[in-house]
Amino acid sequence: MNQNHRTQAGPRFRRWGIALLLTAAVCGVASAQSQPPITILINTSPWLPSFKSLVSQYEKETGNKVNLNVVPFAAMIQKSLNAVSSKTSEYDILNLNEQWYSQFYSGGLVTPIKDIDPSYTLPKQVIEYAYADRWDPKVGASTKNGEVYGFPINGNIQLLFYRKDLFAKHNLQPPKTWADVEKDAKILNDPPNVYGFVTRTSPPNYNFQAWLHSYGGTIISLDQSTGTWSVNIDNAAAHQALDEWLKLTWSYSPPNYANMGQSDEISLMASGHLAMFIVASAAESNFTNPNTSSVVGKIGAAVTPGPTADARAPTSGIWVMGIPHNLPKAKQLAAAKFLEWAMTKPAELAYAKAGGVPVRQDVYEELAKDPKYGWWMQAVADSTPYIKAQVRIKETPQILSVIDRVLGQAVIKKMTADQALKQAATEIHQIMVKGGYKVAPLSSQ
Amino acid sequence: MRRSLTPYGLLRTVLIVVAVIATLLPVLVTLVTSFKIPRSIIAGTWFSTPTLQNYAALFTGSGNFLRLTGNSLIASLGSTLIIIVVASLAAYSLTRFRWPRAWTVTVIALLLFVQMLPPIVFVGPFYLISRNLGIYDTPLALIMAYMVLNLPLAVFILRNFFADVPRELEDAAAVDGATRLGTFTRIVLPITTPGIAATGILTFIFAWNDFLFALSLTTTPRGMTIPVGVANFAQNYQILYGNLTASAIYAAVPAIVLVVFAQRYITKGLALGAVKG
Amino acid sequence: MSETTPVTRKAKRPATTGPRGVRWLLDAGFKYWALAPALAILALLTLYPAVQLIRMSFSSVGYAGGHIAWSPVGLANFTQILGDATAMVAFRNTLVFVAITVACETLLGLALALAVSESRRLSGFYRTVLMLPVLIPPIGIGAMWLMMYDFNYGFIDKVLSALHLTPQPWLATTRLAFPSILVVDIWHWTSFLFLIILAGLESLPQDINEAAQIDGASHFQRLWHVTLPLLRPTITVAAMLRTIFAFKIFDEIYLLTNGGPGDSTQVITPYIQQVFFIQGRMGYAAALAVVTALLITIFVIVYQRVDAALSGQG
Repeated sequence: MNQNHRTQAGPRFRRWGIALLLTAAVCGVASAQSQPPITILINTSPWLPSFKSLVSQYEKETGNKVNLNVVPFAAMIQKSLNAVSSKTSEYDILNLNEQWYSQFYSGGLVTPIKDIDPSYTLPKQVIEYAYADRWDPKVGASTKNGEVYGFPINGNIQLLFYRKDLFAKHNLQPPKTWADVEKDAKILNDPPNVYGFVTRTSPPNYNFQAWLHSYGGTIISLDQSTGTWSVNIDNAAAHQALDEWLKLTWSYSPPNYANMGQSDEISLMASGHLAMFIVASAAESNFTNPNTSSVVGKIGAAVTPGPTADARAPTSGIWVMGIPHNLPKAKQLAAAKFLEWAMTKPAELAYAKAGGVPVRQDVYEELAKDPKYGWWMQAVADSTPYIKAQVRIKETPQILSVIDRVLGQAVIKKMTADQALKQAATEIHQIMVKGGYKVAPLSSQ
Repeated sequence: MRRSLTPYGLLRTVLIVVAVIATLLPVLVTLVTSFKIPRSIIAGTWFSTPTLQNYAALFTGSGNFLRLTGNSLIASLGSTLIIIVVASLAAYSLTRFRWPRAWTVTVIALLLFVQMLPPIVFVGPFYLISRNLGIYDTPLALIMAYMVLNLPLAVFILRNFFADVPRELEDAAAVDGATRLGTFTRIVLPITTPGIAATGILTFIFAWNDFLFALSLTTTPRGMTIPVGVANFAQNYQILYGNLTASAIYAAVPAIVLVVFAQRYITKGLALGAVKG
Repeated sequence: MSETTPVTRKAKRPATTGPRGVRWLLDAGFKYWALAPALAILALLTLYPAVQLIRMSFSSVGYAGGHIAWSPVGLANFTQILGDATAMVAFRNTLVFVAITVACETLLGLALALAVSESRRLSGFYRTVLMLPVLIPPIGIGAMWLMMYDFNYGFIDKVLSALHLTPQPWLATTRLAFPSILVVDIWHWTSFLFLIILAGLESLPQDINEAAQIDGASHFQRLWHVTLPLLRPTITVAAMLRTIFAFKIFDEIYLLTNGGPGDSTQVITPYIQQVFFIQGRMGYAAALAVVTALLITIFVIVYQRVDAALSGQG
């Protein structure tokens, strides 16, 4: 047991002191940790085994029971919505993707932590991923001023993965700028043996945001002082970003570039046919596992590039865990206790060592020198100051589907980059107006 | 005498051979893939040392396929059995008895409408019903869902087969003093065995392969079926092709056994014998 | 159509034996209770979802304060469809997809059923093989065809390379992706039509065909004038059911192209699911579902008309 853990258990102990004393008097063996069993809904993924080991660690330390209901990725949103729409949720914790969570936060479908355990505050070392854990109902968005609605559980951000051996052979350093990427991709491009660079085009929005944010662009932004939103996807920064992204998409990728999904890119890298690409950090296990990878030990990771070495923008794509609104108080508290425990340093350290993607800065820094995990954790630790958020309002999925559609059209040259961004701006503006937001008029109008 | 090679016979043979090869090729590629290690699959290696690891994972990993197979069998066979009984009664009643035209049209329209709605329409309501009845996460919830989803299909196909039964047969039975139920069970059902077998195969297959309801009405291996286990290998950061192909092959095997058994009923002999008898 | 055929029970029923009630149940009452279970199941389990869907399509439905909030919006969800570029492309692709696949699958299924029903040797083997595709879970079919089509490790491109031909990105160009999906669907679902039509063929009365053969009718004449007219209702029902299912295509596209490249393989059912669950716009998704059901209805009516016209000629 660690100090951090005990200090968090303290306030609750005081609050429930009387009850516990009574229980202790009766049973004689009651533990401060004793909580009813909880059930967690989670999807299969490369990081599931590490989460399982986190759970069994918790069960061992506290004696509390945690059931995992493991379902396919494709089932997550549907099962989560079913659970929160029924009289009592069958799950005590839901695993929510960054691109969906806004529906759960904004609809009051998960309960903010302050309503469950008012004395709890998130440890300073927990990375908040530009406030993906928070929600401010007044503006209807994730902001610094919001309450904590969800605990980050998988700290996925984008990293640049590259072939250390190929870079060394050609005396190259990992690229820091898009210009470096182009230069290196050109040198390393040797189709069909090795492709210089690929982008993810199916669906493209997440990948593209690394470019967009690095040029200082955003899809939409909120002026906190006036409460006015603006749609920025048609501005100069967005144009530069899209031009660069398209150039890289078309120049150094295999002929199936126009329908490149995440698993396609990862397979290409793991089979040794790709020099570098940008993907979520959770992909790392695909390269270190000799069963799936032909390039074990040959992959390096770095902070995603930008137009200059200072302007870099790894975009967060995390999973958060939320507690459904339709649960008895005791269950909510038990769920909160597990998540609070999972945020502690020893728990996160063990989670990371079991192959998970932790969410604490001190864990990344401590493991950056680790021979087994250091190769990518150092890159995450270096990325933290640059992390950028995706769009985080209730209409996020709708806005992202507009981005996906126009980028897809641009990739297959059915639209020019200008047409694509103009179209996106018009549609997103309409979505915002319809959603009742105060939106500045489009600059081009 | 029929063996002589007419142009028609040649065409027929060529058609069947091409169809058999085209059908089997992707299956064979998948079969070979399922014995490769994942590294070789994504590297596109032609040959690699065969491994059973992709199959072993079906029984050792998070999804216990033996349990899932049991659930799949209960849900598919159970729903098929109920559907065949309910649907053949309904189809016979609709086809061979005098109903007001408006009534028949309404029933048909209702059946069609259910079949036309996107299945997600039923996901939410079925979820709530199965939780209220306490059958959530058991094969019973799936039997309920498949019963509803496949019943219209079965009634449609069977109506058509019952309509083909020569009316003289029924009339003859009536003259002999048989009740209408007796006529149905002793005369009509034996003649329509091929149609009933085909319908049963189809309702079984649709239940066996269902993914959407198996996802939403179950949450642990207590109720999950094979397609959910298969989908567990299609993850968002990686598609485990080795496990996915192995599980697809595995999923087809029990269905093939049943179909080989059931397709024997789709033959002329039975229908012919009944008519002549 | 069979339900309009006048029912004539000329034969006189003999005097009842046994208790009246039992006799009624077995005889005159049979037609009522035979239909009752099916109607009860449908009424209990589908009426509510169906009515709710229609109500939803005229409402704005969303989560607020932990509950589902409904507010009526009239026709707004429907008018919105016209301005939704993704929906329009999805509807167009779906219609093309349905028309091509159902036509090909019906013709192929019919041809194979005729061929197999006449073959003596290996008949059981052929039947089992030709039913095989429909026995594999659709998500597995997606994986199988990725193994065929993938540009970097797929079977087809490996063979093309070995033959010194140019490998093609089958799933990643606007020219090839849609036809590639059509091939998968035809491979998968021809077996469905094959099965129903074969069963129809096997239950046709044999004496008519044999009589025609004795009369010296050629093989083709017998097929055209005897077999096909008798088989017409079965073919119509099979094609109609397949049409209804084809509108719901989902799993194959999910793994193979996910709607891309661009929106060239975007179809309606995956889009409805995305709008319903991920975007949380339940009212709009319901409107899309209702429009889909209406489109299917048009197809079904056309089938019925064509079928009626053909039966009039026959």
